[in-house]
Amino acid sequence: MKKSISLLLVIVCLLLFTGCNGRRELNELLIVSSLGIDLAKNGETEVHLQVVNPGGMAGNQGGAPSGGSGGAVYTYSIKGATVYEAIQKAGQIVPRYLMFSHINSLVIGEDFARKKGIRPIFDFVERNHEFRETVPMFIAKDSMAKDILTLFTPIFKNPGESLNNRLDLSALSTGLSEGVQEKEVVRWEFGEKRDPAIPGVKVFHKSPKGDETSILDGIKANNKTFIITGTALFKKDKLVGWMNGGESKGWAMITGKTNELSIFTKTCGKKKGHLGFVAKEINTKVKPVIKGDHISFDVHVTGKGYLQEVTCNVNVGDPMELKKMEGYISKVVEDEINQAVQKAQAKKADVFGFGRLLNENHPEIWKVKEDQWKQEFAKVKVRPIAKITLVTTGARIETVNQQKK
Amino acid sequence: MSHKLNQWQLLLLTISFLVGSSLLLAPNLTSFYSEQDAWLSMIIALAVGLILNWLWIYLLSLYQYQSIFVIVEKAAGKWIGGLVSLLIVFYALHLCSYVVRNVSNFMISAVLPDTNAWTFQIMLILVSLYTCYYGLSNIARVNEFLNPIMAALFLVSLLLTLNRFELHNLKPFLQQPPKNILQGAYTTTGFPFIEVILLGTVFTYVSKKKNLIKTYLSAIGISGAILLVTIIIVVGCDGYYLVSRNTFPTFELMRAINVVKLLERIEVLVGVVWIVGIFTKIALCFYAGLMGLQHVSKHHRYRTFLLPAGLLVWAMSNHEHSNTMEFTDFVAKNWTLWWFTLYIILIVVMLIGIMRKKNKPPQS
Amino acid sequence: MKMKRRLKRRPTAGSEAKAYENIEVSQVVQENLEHLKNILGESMDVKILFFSDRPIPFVVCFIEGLVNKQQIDLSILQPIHDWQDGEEDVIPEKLISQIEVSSAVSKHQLFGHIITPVLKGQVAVFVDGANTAYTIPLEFFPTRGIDEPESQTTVRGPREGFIETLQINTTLLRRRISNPQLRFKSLQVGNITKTSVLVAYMKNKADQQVLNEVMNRLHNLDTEKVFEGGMIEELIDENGYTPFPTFQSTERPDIAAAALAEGKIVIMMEGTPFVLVTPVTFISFFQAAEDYYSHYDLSILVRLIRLLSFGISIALPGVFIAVTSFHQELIPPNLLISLAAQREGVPFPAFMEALIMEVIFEILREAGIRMPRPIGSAVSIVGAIVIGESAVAAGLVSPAIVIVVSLTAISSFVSPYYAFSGAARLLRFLLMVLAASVGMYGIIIFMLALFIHLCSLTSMGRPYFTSMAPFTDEQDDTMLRLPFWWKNTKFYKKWKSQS
Repeated sequence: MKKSISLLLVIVCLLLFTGCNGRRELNELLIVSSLGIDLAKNGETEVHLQVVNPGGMAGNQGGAPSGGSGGAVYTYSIKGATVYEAIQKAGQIVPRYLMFSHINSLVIGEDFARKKGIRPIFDFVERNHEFRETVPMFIAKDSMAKDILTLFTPIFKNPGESLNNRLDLSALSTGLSEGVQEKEVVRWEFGEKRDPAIPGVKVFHKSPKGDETSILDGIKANNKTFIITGTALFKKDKLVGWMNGGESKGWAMITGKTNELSIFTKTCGKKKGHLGFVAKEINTKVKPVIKGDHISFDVHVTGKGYLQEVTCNVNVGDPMELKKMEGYISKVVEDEINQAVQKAQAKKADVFGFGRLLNENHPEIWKVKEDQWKQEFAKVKVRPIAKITLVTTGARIETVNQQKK
Repeated sequence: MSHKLNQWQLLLLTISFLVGSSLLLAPNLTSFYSEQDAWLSMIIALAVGLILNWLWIYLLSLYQYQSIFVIVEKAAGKWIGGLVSLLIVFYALHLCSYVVRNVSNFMISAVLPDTNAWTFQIMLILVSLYTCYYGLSNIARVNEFLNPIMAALFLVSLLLTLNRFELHNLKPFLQQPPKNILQGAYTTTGFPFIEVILLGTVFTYVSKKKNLIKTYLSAIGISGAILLVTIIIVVGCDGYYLVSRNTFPTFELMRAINVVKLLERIEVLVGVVWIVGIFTKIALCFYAGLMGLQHVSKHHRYRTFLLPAGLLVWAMSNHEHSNTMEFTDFVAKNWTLWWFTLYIILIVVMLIGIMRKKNKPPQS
Repeated sequence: MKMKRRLKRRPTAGSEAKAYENIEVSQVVQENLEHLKNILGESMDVKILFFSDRPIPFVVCFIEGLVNKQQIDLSILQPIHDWQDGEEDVIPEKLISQIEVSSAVSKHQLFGHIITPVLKGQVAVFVDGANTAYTIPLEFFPTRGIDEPESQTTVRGPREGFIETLQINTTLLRRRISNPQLRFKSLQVGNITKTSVLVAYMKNKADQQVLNEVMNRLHNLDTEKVFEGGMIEELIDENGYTPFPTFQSTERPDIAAAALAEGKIVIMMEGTPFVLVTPVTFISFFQAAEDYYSHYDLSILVRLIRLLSFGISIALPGVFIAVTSFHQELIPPNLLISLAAQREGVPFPAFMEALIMEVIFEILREAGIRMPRPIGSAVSIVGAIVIGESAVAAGLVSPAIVIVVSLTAISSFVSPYYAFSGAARLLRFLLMVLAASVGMYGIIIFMLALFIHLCSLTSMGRPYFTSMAPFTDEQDDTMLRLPFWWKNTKFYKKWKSQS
């Protein structure tokens, strides 16, 4: 009895001690809030690690007994042959264990995306058990990831969080509310043979002092903020071009990535002025239509419109007028979709997953077309059919711009 | 040490045994071959499993649900029966070691990579031996209490992922060549639907044996349905490409749960569900092995064998395969045939016993 | 096996001390007097009155303070004197019938049967010429008034509590259950103390097997002294080791009465206001008397809160340690950052922090209970300052751990049974060690082991964790308290008739 008890004790002790290996206290961790990847001059990969300084982040919170100073985040940059090598090398320059589980954004420099392609990033990101696969990806438009990650932002002390949050805020103007996740890119590109598209980001107004906390003191905010702009088009894993705002919206609508966006018309039919709407509950259905050897796609978009602004001389109180307005917005939606398709077709990048759709619905045709799909895609006809119904006119009925006779 | 259980407990035990370890692995094992048609593989596997298990329990019922060890001894005589009993013991402990290895693989690859795998193995083995110490009643009660809670947790976490479910991930339907679909079904037939024949040691302790066949087969049906739903949701949310490359796709799926920024990273829930289910499976494997040893050695209780069996399982779990890939490869390629061998041996022995009219209860 | 060892009767110690038990009462009263003096000695509170100048000499013996002296004069001495003076043919056998008392007078032939009643407050009378002695129950001793029970208070419900006197406690039960089926069985426990123990049960409700088991264990109990139910509890428990109480101890007569009405068995004891209820289940420790007095929906909520707080009091520090030192990915980013900021500069790992605070808290709790009441408040002031303010300000611990420990502490006070929160207190430390070594995995393993343990426990041969495992369909008073009319509903009757 005694023997077995002492044996048990030894086992338990051993277990407890070997167990402690995986333990990391909070003050031994460096929380990585965003990861940037750039192409270095010598062709190597440069990794930027934006890490959180808890003391600086929490500010004058009651708890922090010491520290509580310095910037909220710091960015370490280091070069290596691969992403993993660079991160391992970073062990020599960072004072604590790097933790990736709270990463907010993955920013890739345009150069890297154009020249090296995004494929080399994924293996590390997927294999690492800490990395969140739902991390939203961004492409630093016309700049390096470094520019994005070395900017202090107001309101949100953590620029990564600020960037991430922007997706939600800018959902109306870009149509992207959740961004594009790393996981989706992998699935699109490697699982569904569909070309990825990733939202772009750039610094709004470049400022020489962007990387110092003192920039936060001034009242002007334009020089310390990002803008989500456009969507990068990829062919396989290489960046081939950019879609502008309208095209991005079109892309978002075709792929069903959006459920709420703003629509803005240039005219009110024949009258001068503008109409502003928010479209909600947007639902998209794409149907491949096969006629003999001819493939086309019907894009049905339905949604509910909420009138936001009228600057032309119309009688909003007239239901007939509202019907017309519905027509105007549907037209804008169709235009945006057409533009997006044209841009993608010009670059031969099937960012809408039309190939995948064909495979889903007509696998036998897909088998024939699969090999030359890229050429086929460039010629495919897309017919957008938008039906946005106007639900409400907001808090007023008639507009002040209406000139009554 | 008491061995008693009712049919409700048997139902839950069977479900735990089947679902426990397959929950995280089945989506990968099926979709690795049959891609988006993984669900079809699962249905086929379930159908085959039901048929095999029906035959199994029907034969057992002809023996009045005696313990499988008693049956083989009666049917094949003392020596051959003893050998077959030892074979079952080996299969039970071997399976046990695989399941243990599975847990430690999971822990070191997905949760705590820096901790020694032995820690996970030994703790789990010790706690399973602890319940075996008290007997089958204890296993059944613990499982009876935990199983519904775990089921609820799992259901909730599945519901939370539904907002990302997209039907187009399952399309195109039925486009995989039949060979691939059958290949996917092949793996999941053995793991878990043939393994469950180990429960042949348990039926004799069920207090009321009326409708036992129905209970057992419906347990298999329910487990199959759970696995099927899991596969459909996992593939539907993530797409077969991610799933087929992922060691623990269900776990990975839960990682991405994000409901109003409040319920984030609750994959640990599914980890807990899994480990609790696996605990039941390990305990039952141990129990089957220990009962076999008890029977063969003619002891009246098996506590003497607890620690040696535990050590054996621990050693086996570490030495059978050197790395996780070898392990997975073996399971994917050979597991079903490996268990089918035992199945066939036992069926043949029982049939011989019936032909020799050894299945009648002794007249008293 | 352990059970048998504990209950085995040891060879009787000090056989000469027990020699008196077999002395027979003599016909000659002087001899009896000698025996009495030998046995009871010269203790000042022993009064032995010898009336030698009477036609029939007799001896009255009692313990001062335990009997009603006035009653002795009025009911025993006066009538005997009158009778002896007035009658002509006084014979010893008739003497005792002169006594005017309400309760039964019992006859004894052996000293062994006389001494214990005398020590418990009866009056012994020896008559010259008769070889029997009489004991007359005239117990009267100061008792505490019936107070509100301190350990189990309610807002709504009876305010009476048991007191230290067995007789009054039986009264309290009788007043609640006026049913002829309520029975009390008496026995004595303790070789030295000879404490009176009563086993109360409802004859038509209680399980005979369980009753026999209880009686058997109490009879076979071999111990020198018992002063409180807790001592009996530990001695007759059948489980090897468990931190969980397998008897419910209560000082509320309404709880005891309810238990009796449910067919449970109540063990009462002289000298303590706590009675033991058995067999019990795990879930019965979450059921307070008030649950039945207030509305059922509220009671259900409150019971669930109790379960939750039991969970918190066991697991919260462990989970906190596991999450902050192993599974940081589970913490939402902003919370993680502020936790990390708090931890900057704290020298200890989270485990040590939690351990320090838990130990400080246990010390404070113990000090608060043991201190004389006037000083008690000083302890809590010091405690509040030490825990709440200084430890954080000094950088010894982080503020988060203070919240964790205080929440744990408050949760542990929720259980309606004090003994039960003790289990959580003990297990918490074990869980903290496991959580600090393998994180969440350790917690799962701990919980598995805990449930295995709970499922293995029995209380008087009945499964302790029942109504959950093994699951029964009688769930109307378990984790939930369904309305009292539940069993009259059509749904219930239909469901019952089907199964």
